Amino acid sequence: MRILDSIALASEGVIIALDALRANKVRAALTIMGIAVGVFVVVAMAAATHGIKQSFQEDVDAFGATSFQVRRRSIGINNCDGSDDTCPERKNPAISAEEAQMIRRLPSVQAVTEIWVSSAPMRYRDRYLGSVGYDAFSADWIQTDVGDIDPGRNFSQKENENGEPVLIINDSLKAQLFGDSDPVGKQLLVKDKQFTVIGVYHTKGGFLKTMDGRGPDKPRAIIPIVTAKRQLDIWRRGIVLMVKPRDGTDQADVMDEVTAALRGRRGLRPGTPNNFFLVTQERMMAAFDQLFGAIFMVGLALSAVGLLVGGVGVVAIMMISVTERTREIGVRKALGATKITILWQFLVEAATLTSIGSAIGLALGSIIAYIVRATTPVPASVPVEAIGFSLGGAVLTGVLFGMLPAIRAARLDPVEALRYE
Amino acid sequence: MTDDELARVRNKEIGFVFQTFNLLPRASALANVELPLVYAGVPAAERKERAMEALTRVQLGERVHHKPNELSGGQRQRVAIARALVNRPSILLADEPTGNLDSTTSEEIMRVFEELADQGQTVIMVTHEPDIAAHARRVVVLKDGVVSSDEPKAVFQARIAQGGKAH
Repeated sequence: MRILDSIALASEGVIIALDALRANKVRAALTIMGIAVGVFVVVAMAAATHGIKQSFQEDVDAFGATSFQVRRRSIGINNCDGSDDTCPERKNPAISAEEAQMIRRLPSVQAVTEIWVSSAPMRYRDRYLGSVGYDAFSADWIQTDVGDIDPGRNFSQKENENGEPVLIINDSLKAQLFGDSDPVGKQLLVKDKQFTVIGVYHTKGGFLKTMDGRGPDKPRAIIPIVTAKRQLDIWRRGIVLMVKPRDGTDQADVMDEVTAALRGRRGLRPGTPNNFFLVTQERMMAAFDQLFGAIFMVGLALSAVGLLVGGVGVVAIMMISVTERTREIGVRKALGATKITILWQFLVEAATLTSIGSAIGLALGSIIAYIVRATTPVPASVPVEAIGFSLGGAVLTGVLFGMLPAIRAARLDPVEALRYE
Repeated sequence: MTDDELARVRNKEIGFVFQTFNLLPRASALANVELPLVYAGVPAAERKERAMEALTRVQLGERVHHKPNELSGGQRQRVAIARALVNRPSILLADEPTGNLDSTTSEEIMRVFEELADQGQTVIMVTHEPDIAAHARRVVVLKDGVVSSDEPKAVFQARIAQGGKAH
């Protein structure tokens, strides 16, 4: 059979399949629904994880793709149960301000931001917020973070070193504490300490920031890290450095340099493992993938069940279809249809069924993705590959489960089939 | 012969006409006639042309886009004959083609077969009715699976005219 003939027969098969569906609406609807549910689950899950990942990628790109973190402990899923045996990282020393300063002086490094994240109650006159998240940053945070300050200004390195009680608030915190009035220069209480507002910053909040409570909707503040250490008793072991290499440098080289400098400073002998971790944005992506990969696998298993149920439905409806159309098969064979053409016809019919199911599932998944995007911070969007995969998967399911009925149809004896009442 | 070889013989060498027409109910007359050409691997444009030609030969050039249930019994049988003819078979095999038709329509259908035979098409027809059998040039009578007579049309007709039994 030539390819063109196959296509001609396939298009004929699709038309016949659509006719058969019209003739058996309820039966077809049930089968299609099984497939649709399976595809819908995959598409909805893929849309959520894809959207989150895309937003995360945007965050990462905004930070500068070559920036990396220096951390006391690694990230991602590990089997640490809190004991020293399973997580030797617990014994790692904290990243110190002096180490940050040393890295800052490396020629290939453009900026190093010391980061600590915490929260504290804040009060302005009669307005009180019980817990406002804040980032304790060094003065150069503006170089490694995204966002701009207006009105007002960033704090200076001097102010940080002196531990001046100043802070920068975001739009949401400004709205909650100060309403429409200009907050710059006003005093507010953080815990019981007096701080002066020196600026308002606008963050470009991706999904991860939003999840962290660092998105534009949540009230939030930035405080100089030395100030935070002195006035707000932060837990110093949690400090993380964000290192931004200079333009034109190679990220791997810079990471090697930082590693060598830290090892030298910490006096680690050759052969002993690092007691700190460098984490690139890719590594953060990988940790994310690991987490969402696991969630996605669960979804995949669920949808496999859906496809299986749909597949069994396909077998049932196609078996009935073959029996009902025994005479038709006889006629076709009398007119010269070979086994292969009959097989092909019924496979196309089965694949048409499952493809319709898959299309419905895709449509539903896309609608859900749209609703999720519109009503929650999860920026769900259906990835292009998901469309290909679900259509391909549906066709495959149709062919696999349609094979048995199709073989039965192809094997019918033309004389017997024509006599069938 | 293998199944595929048998399929090829059914496709190219024999055209079948059934008592119950056996048209595909959801396909138009034209599509029904095109079907053997589809299985023969004839390109679409040529298929359509040849199917129209076959339908014209059975005097059904008009209602070609109608579905079988929109056609009369005689018209359906004409479509079936066109379908049997379309691949220019060596033999046209008709199994009681007038069994489901009234006598007027039967005569019309028989005229179609006669015309085809006059044009050189071999037609083998099975029937219970002597009137129908009388259209044939050669009549073979089968009784209980055994040939009881094999005579030219004139002899058969003479015997029937004298009140003789067909078999």
